Amino acid sequence: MNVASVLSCTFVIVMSLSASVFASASADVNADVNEKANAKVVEKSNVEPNQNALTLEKITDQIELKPFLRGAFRQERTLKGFNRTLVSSGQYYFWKDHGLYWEVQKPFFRATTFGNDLTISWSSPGEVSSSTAPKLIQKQISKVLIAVLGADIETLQRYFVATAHYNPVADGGEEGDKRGVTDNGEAGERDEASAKKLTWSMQLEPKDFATRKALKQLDLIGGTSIHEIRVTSSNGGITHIQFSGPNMLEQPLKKQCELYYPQTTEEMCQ
Amino acid sequence: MSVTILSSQIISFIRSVFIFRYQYWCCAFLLALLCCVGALLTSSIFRDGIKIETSLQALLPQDKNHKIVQLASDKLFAASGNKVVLLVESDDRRLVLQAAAQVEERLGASPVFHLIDDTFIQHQSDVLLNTLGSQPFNFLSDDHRQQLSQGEVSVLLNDAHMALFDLVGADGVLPPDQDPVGLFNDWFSSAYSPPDNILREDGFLFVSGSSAKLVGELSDGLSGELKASSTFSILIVAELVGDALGTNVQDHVIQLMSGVYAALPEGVTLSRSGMIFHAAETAAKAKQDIMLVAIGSTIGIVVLFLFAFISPMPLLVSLTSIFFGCAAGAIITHSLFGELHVFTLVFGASLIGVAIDYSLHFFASLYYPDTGDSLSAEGSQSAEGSLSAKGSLSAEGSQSVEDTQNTKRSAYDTVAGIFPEISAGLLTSLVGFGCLLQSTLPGLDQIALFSMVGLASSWLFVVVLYPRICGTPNSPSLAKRFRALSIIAMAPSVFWRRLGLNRVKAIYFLLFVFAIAILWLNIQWSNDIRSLNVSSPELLQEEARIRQKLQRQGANQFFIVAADSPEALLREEEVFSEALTLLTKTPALQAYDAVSSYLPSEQRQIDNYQLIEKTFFSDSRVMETFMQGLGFSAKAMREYMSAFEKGKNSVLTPEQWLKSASPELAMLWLGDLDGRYASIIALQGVSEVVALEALASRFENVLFVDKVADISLSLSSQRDQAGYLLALAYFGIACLLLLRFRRAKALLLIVVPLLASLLTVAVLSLLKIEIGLFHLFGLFLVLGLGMDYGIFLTGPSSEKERVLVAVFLSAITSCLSFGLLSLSSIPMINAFGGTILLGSLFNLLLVPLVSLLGETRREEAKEADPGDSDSRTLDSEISKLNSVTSQ
Repeated sequence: MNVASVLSCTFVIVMSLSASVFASASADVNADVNEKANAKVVEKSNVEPNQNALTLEKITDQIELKPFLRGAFRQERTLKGFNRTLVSSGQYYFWKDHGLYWEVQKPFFRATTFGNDLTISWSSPGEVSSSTAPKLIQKQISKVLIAVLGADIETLQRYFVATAHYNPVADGGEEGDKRGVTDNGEAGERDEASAKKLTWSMQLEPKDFATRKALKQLDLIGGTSIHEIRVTSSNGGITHIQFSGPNMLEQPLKKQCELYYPQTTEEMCQ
Repeated sequence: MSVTILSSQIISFIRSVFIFRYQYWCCAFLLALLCCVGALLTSSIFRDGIKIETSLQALLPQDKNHKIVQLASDKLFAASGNKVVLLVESDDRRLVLQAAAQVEERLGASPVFHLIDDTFIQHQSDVLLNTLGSQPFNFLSDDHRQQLSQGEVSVLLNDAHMALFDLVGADGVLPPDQDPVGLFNDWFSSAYSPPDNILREDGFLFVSGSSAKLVGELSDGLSGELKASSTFSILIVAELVGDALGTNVQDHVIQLMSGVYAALPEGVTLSRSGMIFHAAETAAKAKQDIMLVAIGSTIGIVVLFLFAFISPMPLLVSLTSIFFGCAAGAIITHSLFGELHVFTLVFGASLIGVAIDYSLHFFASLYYPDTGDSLSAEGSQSAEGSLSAKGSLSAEGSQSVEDTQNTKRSAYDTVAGIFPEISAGLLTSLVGFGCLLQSTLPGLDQIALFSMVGLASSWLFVVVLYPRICGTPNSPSLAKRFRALSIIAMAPSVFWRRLGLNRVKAIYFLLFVFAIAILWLNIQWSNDIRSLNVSSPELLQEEARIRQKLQRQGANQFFIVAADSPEALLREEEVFSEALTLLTKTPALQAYDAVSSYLPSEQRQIDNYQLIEKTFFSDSRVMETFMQGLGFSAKAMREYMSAFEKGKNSVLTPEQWLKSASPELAMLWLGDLDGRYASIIALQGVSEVVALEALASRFENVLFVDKVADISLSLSSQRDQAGYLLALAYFGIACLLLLRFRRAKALLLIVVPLLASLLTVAVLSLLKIEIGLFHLFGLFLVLGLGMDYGIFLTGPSSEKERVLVAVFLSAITSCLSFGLLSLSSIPMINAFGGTILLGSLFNLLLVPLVSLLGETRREEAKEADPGDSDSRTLDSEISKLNSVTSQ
């Protein structure tokens, strides 16, 4: 072993450990030291693993997403130390394989495009305030967001332990889907049109300890698309987002496309 | 060297005064003393435990110019010695996850590894955040400091306000009620930012190969982002429980890793990095070499002895003497150094080939019939003259030799007869090995001491105990065996003699010219640190792969900053960091890591606090208004204000920070080193060393360290030093010869090893082998061995045939043991062994030339000084040899 190896070895180890620590620390939020790290993800659901897998599979089949989705949202955020809820609303565009455009319209305009290669901030409609290549950790966050909004269960399962069930339907025309799925996935044999009306709930708990310290739980409610998201932070903050009026298209309009590619050539957004 | 000359003079004096009997009892006393000391030391070694060092760090040159650099290197080494990094790679995401899980499972189940998993990492980050978060008002990012200094508060507050409504907002390390404006969160995310090529996914650390454009499909998950060159890479870090240098741990790790490799699915590769792998490989190779040399030499010796002496007794006695020498060398070296390096044992094993010489001369002299009657009467006279010139034999010994010609001699007489030669042989070997002590490579001190003590002990054993335990042989086959051996042993002499003197002289001259011409034209010097490398190419490649993946190419270069106090050190770092940050905007350097990036100096912490106080908490009450406007509760505001007040005048000290910082960050802080405080600034992506050197030279307290360059320089200077020492050794031995024979022609003896060395280097050069430090060290042994052969041949002429056989057997054993060393896969041992193998062969071929060349000067010498008994001695000895070879 030469000295180069000795020192390289040293720095390789330093680097890798630092990476682990930093990646963890950055994701941490007001960590409570007393919460010991050896807590395992406990699958709280009473649903059997096989049954859960079938449910998730069915939800995946049920999701109907065209390449481009446009909708409105209302966000309510409750944070520790605040005596009021922070409410905002606006619109979003979800473009498969291209990213997410999130536009807060009230109480003020603030918009961000979480693209594949760029994170673009908009100071006012059509006016870019900054456009930067996101760092990997930022990309990770946007990819998770995109996976959540696109109900991309396969991707979500890489970061979360997902448990899901179907909700009872209010009109009485449909039975609670819990029962239907429990019967060895017989729900899949139901009438397809009625199945699409079913709503489901999914609980996501981070697999990763570091993420768990920041994010306690994600709850999704949806049907053929996502209806609601509830984010429970480890420090007690809760963010509740409701989506409405989803409008699916095969492709975005030119001006919508330009929100993802503001400086691109015309061919890209024709 | 003057000490050596002085000691040789003292020895000559002693030898001229005392008779062998006194010498014998002196040796017996020394042996008894050695045994007593050895017994005492052995008991203390067994009490404290035997420590075998396998780390090559111990062999690396010490940086004596900058003690601080050496301390820094030692600390770096100590801090990472027990960590391992593994990289699991595959093109198939499913496979790589499966393989990584398997590897983690195996490592986790092993008692010697502790996986650095979420639990460990999270605990570290918790402690760190608790420490830093206790002083949240002391830290400001550069951007915020600039904004606050310029009074750009409204932008800052506006951003903080808007961030609360973001989709991904208010998610800093401190919640909004503890950091409403996000000042601490911003500083923390910039100071402790994660590397941009590592992400957690599926519970594993995925690594990208490049931070360049990352393209991935969502279907590949986030690791698709990291899927550079269509390969998924997962990093696994573990800590070694126990001593990385312990042989038990190494054996376990080797076994574990072979199991891990065997279980890898097809299409998955695994790379390793960690001291343990190097240490285990070194130990395994060293063990293999020791076994090869020890078993090979022993088998060779057994075969040779049984053939040459028929009886098993010489073999057993010789092996005992070697064992005694090795044991004494090991015990004394271990006691003096507190440990034994495994390389010392490797080189030590090769000593068998040298230590056996004394036994061979003894048994050749004791067992083989005297050929004195076949020589002229001059032989006995000259033998007498020779002995008297040396003045080393007693009247008793001398008488014995004369009386017992043609008869069997006692073991005591035999030892008395060979005593001058084996003593001179020992002395030259001690001079040769003693020169190694001058090297600044610390491992060589051990090797030199081990060899010197080992040889001297074997010599003592032969001189003192052989006369007591060896009987006179009585086998009728001995004469036949002797005749057979002498035919082979004399072949070179006969060959040279048949060529004729003029041709021999011409050949000698041509060989000199050839060697010098080759050296002049072809020699290539090497100071490549690869000569110190014993790790396998596979391991080095794997390590390079991990280094490349983690983008740590400039690992061997760093800055050391020093100051009189911790505070002064951090301030010095802060000033230097500003210049270094400018350099990161050029191609010279990509990034750096300094303690002050993670822990500002006390002065800066106070400045930051005051800046925040002035901006947000002064009479304008900006913070209060801001928090009120956002909707913070009165309680939250009170708590925040109270926390700010509490933070006044309190700073985070390096001591506090070190308690919470991860070992990897804490490693950058060297702390108190002999009254000076020092720290390391680690560098990434160094491409212009000159720029870094130039920058460091502008700062009085900053030193740029380039370990590879430093070691290459050190090897180069040590090579030069070894060259001078070799020349000095030749000079010292020449002086010894002059003192012994008191004639200039005695210097002919030194010509043999000199020419052998030149030819050895010439042949190596012809083979395109670069000559490095370890080749030169080998030449010391070539000198020692060559001198041994020559000196043995200067003994009584009646012994010449027996001596030639002994020299032949001795050369064979040397070639065997050092030849086996040359098969070593460790470059330095390979170089050492190969040099000595070639040198010994040339020595054996050239030794008879001494007598032939001496013959040409005999008449001349006689004319010059007809009454000089010394000159007669050497010349007559040479003439005896000629007469023997001519038969």
